[in-house]
Amino acid sequence: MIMVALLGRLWGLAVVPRHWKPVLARTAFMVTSMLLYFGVMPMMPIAEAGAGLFTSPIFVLLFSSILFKERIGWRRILAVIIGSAGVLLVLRPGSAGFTVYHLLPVVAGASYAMGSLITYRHLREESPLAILMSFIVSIGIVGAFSTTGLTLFPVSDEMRQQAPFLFSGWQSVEGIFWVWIAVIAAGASVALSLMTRAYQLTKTSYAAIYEYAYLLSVGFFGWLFWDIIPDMVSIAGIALIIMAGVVIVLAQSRSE
Amino acid sequence: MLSNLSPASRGAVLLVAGISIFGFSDNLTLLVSDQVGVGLLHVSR
Repeated sequence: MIMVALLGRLWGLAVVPRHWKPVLARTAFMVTSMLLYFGVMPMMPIAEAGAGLFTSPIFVLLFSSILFKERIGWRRILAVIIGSAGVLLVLRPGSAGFTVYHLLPVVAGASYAMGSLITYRHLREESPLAILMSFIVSIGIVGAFSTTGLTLFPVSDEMRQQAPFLFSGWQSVEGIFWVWIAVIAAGASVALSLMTRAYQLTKTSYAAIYEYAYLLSVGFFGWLFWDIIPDMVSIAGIALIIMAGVVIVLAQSRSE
Repeated sequence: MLSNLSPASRGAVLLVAGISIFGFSDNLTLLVSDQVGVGLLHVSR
C-alpha cells in the first residue's frame, strides 16, 4: 500500500478510484481469483495451478462472445480449442489424482477474465494505481473476514484435511513466518513496480505475451526449491495453454 | 544498459523480470502454507 501511494506521488497518478462501481466489481473478481489460485498452491505443482489461472484469455474470448455477442474469428476459435485441450491434459478429469480442488485454478482463470473484461470495458480512464490500491486493500480485508469466518464457523475435519491452506482460520505463527512474509511481500512489491512501469512502456495487448514467462519462472523455482516437476503430459498441456494465449494476443494485435 | 533499448523492448524486459520475480515469491508461499490459511497469508502480506 505504501509503495503504491509513493508511486502515485512520484508519477502524479491518483490512488483513489474515481469510478467506484466498476472498480469494486473488478476487484471482487480479481480477489476471488487470487484467493482460489493461492489456496490450491500446496495441492499441486504451482506451474499446473498457474496454467489453470492462465486460461483467462480463453475465458475472455468465451465471455466476450456469450455476454457481448462479439465475433471472435477462426484464429481465436482455434486458440480456444487448443487451450481447452491443454486444460484437459493438465487436469486429466477422472484420473486417480483428480479432485474438485484441481478445478479451482481454472475457476480462478474465469474470474480473472471477468475482472479483465471490466477493466477493458469500463476502466480505461481509471488510474492503474487506483485499481491496484483497491485490489491490495480489498484482498487484505476479504482475507481477514474469510479467516474470521472460518474460525467462527469451521468446515468439516475432512474438508480441512483435504485443503488445509484453503480452509484454515486464525492461528498463532512462529517468528520465522514474519521473515518469509517480509520476503514474499518485498518480492511482490518489486515485481509489481517493474510490471507497472513495463505497462507504461509497452502496448498492453502485446505485452500480455510476456506474462507467460510466469509459468516458466514458477516452474523453474518449483523445481529449484521443492524438486517439483510437472509430468510430461502436464508440460504438454501447459505448452498448449501458452500457445493458445499467444495466438489470442497476436490475433488481438492484428485486429487493432 | 536498458536505456539503449527501445521503450517497447525495455517494457518487455521489465515485464519478464517482474513476472519472473512473482514466480520466485509465489513459490515461497509453500514455506508458510503449513502455518496459516490463504486468507491470513493475504492479510499478513
